[in-house]
Amino acid sequence: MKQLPCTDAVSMHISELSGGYPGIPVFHNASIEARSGDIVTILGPNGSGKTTLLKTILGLLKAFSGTVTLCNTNMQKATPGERARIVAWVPQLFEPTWSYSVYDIVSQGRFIHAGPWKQFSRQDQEAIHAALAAMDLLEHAETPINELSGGQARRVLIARALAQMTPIIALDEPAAHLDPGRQIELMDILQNLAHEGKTILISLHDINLAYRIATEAVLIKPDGTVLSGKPEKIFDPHNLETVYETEFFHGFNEFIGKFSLPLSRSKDLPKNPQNID
Amino acid sequence: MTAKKYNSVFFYPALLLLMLIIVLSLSLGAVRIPLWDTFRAIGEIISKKSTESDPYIVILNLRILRTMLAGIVGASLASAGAVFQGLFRNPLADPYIIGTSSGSAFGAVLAIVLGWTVSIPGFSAISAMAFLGGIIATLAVYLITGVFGSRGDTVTLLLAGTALSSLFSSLIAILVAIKDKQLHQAYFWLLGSFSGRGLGELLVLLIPALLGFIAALASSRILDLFSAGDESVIMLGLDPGKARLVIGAAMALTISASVSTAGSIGFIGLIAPHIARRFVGPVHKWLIPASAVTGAIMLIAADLTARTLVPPVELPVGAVTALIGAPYFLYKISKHGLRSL
Repeated sequence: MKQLPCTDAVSMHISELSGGYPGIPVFHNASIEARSGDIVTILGPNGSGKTTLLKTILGLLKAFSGTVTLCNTNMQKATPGERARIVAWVPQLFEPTWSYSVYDIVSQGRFIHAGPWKQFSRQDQEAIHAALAAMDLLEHAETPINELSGGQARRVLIARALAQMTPIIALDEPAAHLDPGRQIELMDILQNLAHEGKTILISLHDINLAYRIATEAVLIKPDGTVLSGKPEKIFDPHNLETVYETEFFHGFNEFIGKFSLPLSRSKDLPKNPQNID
Repeated sequence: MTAKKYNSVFFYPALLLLMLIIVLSLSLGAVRIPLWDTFRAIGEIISKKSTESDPYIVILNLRILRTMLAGIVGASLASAGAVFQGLFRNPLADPYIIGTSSGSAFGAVLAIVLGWTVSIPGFSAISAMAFLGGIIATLAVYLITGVFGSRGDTVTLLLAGTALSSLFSSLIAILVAIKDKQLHQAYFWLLGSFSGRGLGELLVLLIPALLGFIAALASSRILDLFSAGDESVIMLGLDPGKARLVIGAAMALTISASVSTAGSIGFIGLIAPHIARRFVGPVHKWLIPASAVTGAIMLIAADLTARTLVPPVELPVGAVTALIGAPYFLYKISKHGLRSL
């Protein structure tokens, strides 16, 4: 099996990246740096461009300007084959046209290693097995994907990404539609993967989940400006209020650490000091 | 529909059914040959003891060729249909509906009108022109549905395919009207028939059909990737545009060979994969051979019906496939909607 190309270098170097769709700029000047073991969380209000930023980093969308270097590879110029060895992608939506089994979907992650014709080697089969085991899906290997719950389907996609054995995994709002228990479980899984040396790039809706796992933080403002840096600096009350246009109650608890609860929409409601107590 | 019911449950009964339909196809027709005599004559043909004086043998030799043609064309159209449905991630894609068949038919008709009728085993000018027409039609549908950039949604694909088919059909009708004497009747190209087809057609058909089937099988893991959507395909390590182009061209080869043999026959490529998928699931390395067997059974049965339903008249075989296929298809849509196909 090919060794992971960049386990101890700077795995992600994104410099002054701007992007969007033809004629519609979405985000500007994202500069992000991450190493193996980092979890980079992307937060931002609905429609701020979390998915667009992710897809531009992956090279699925053309950048307007700036550079993305993942594992010393320019993602804007890389072929699909080169990219698939560096980063695995867990999309937000997954609607396969036909009801493949869990095993079939997870084995798609081996395409880049086995190619279109070769029979799966033992390494391929072990990788699939390990990925299924890590996501607690072994007993569902033969289950058709459309018979799974939302949380299980999400884990299938993460298992596929694991089977791909890339140094970086990018996930687009994987916590959406999961119940709180499944969300926490997923965060633990991602932290374990980071401990094993992967770099995780993840967009989230829930600020508190980001507090829990982020080692690098990215915030997209409604106007598309991208803030990034260490979580302590980025998850600043003032930043969150401007980005979400919402007032938060910020608290600290010795068990769960920092947390923030939304109080009122600062744009819609007149500022009322009583609300903040 | 469950994902894995695989193999033996499908293939043994299906191959048995194929044998049965082949025997029926040899035995039934304008002259009915008793089953026993059919087997006896086949034995004599195989052991080369046949005598030209035996009238059954003469008929059988013709029917064997025709049955082989129908089986190979059916298998080709059905496996190409399974491939297109996978490539376009669309249960409605098939060689007839997306316009490849009518493009091929136009190419073939044009070759005949131009007087290009050179033929050697494995190649004929007509099938080369049919290939060209099929490629052009397929490319046009690719471009119209914008598959190079994004995905082919059902409505655009259907509209583009239908419009292209009408265009090519009317061009065929015009050529046929102008040059009536050089051409078989128009319905041969528009609806398809095995009437009067034989060894020459078989030799031209065999190699491209085999190559197309191998290409379809070789694409099966790629087609499985396509179910995930183009962006996922890219992130799994494959360029979807390039794959569509190469695989689509390979399918145009097999479809054009089928069309220059028997005209454009609809519904086999659409329905055979649906039937096969119910039994073997969506994984293409099983789906493609299962579709091929199903398509062969369907088209041999359709040809048998075409030549025995109202004797001595032979119906165009495409009229039979449409007569059975269209209602089946409408029933499926009305019962389950498009997603369930």
